[in-house]
Amino acid sequence: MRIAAGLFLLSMVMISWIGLQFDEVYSPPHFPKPAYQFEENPLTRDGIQLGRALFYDNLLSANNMVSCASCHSVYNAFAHTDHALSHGIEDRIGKRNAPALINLAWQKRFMWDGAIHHLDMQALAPISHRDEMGSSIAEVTQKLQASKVYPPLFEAAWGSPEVTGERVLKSLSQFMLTLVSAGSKYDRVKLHQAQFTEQEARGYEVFKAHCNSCHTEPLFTSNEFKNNGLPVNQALNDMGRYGITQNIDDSLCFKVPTLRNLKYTYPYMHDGRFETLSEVLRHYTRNLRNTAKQDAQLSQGFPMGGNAKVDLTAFLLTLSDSAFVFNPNLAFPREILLNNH
Amino acid sequence: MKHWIFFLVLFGNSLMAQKSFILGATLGNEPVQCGKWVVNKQNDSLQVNRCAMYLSNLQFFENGKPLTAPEKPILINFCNGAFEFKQVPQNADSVTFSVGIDSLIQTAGAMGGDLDPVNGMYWTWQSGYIHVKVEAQTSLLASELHSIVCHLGGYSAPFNTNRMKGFKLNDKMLYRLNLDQFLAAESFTTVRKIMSPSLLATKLSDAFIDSISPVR
Repeated sequence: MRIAAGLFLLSMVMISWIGLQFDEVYSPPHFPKPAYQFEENPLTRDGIQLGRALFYDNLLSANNMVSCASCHSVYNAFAHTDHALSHGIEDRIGKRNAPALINLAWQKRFMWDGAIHHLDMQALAPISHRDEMGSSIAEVTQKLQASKVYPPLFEAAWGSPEVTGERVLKSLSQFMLTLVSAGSKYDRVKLHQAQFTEQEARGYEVFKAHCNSCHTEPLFTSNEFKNNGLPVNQALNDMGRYGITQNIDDSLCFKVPTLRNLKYTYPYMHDGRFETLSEVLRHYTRNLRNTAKQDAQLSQGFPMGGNAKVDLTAFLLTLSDSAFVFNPNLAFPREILLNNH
Repeated sequence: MKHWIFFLVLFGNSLMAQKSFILGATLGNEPVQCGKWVVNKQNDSLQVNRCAMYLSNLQFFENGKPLTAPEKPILINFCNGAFEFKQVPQNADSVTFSVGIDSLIQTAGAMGGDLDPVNGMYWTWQSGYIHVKVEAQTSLLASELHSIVCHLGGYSAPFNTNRMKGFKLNDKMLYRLNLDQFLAAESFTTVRKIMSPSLLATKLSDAFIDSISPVR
């Protein structure tokens, strides 16, 4: 009996330390059901910590100079503000604005063109792209296996020190799944813990009338692909989702980005062409051209006075989640990476 | 025919000991040796540098009834030799398999073993396994590097490149991927670099599966 009770207690301790129920730990009550299949990659504390180390480690790039965090900085809500376009090894510049990595468990398609269909496989793209990290998952696993730091971390997370592509990718997913931003003023209002100011409340009404169909609450994205009327950047000639589907209807369609944390995630749009929210609003209120390919919901434009724009901006700033941006659990893992390479 | 004696010596030893299903690749009617130049019947010099594929759902039957469960995807690298499956039921009279990875696995996230992306059979610019990878050089093609880079993949309509095949089993149970036949596919006369899901990739997937046949 004592042995059975002891085993039960031990198993409870093990569960509390090893198994992390995403719904209980990370999923906000006012969010929908996540899209990620957690049963295929159950979160563990060691798995998350390993993924966090990998996310911040320059070892993942060909010249050991660029990490995931180079373009997805915690202080920018896991986007990047130094450059309009992503900045890779040897100062190479990509052709898209690094998107904010927020609330990824609720997304089914990744990248501006939806080229990636599963979070686990997302990291393969930047690791391999010559203008980003310029390496390969095979090279990365070899480097990690040869390092002093990682085999013990893999053993803790996965039960053996063996580094495989599957383990690397799933560990990165585990960390990225914890990038849950739901601590903004908007969220507190939804949970009856705060109230909008009069101006924010007016802005919320403007938002619901003009923006919510694409930037749908509470994730502030419909996760769809839309042509928002931006003319193609001739230098980049990026046709968006068309490049993946070869369907002409997808020409210049890009993924609708979340509006959460946009205070931290400038510049805006897939090519980072707008530095400020004012420029974004000017595009939707004045500069929309009624082209055949533009999304039908934009056909009437958004006639909006100056006061409405200010109100809308006030509401949009309630989507800022400073607790997320300054969360030490998401920051550079000094205890693991500093002085270890 | 004499070349097939060589083929049998190389890959068919186990036929004596147990019942095996063997699939090898040939070039110039010989087992392919990656990196080696071969002159084919049309006097074209060919060199295959890479030849790999996913074999999925390998399953054996007797009188149409399954004797085994479908096997998990197996990565075959023909540059390392022929593939041999040793657990063929004694009374099996037919076999089916597919070339490629089905959509359920394609969308299931990161996987290990033969499906680990470290094997170089997963696209990085978009999600999806590469079902077939054939890279070759030829003296006749007018392309810049006289090369063919054929990465076939795509798991959803209209560019699904999964292909199924079935055979009545003969005594030898020896099958071959005829690379001469595949590389002579009409599609290669106009395009030599296929690296994304497309209509062309679906046509070449048809040509690839048609290039697999029993050794008589």
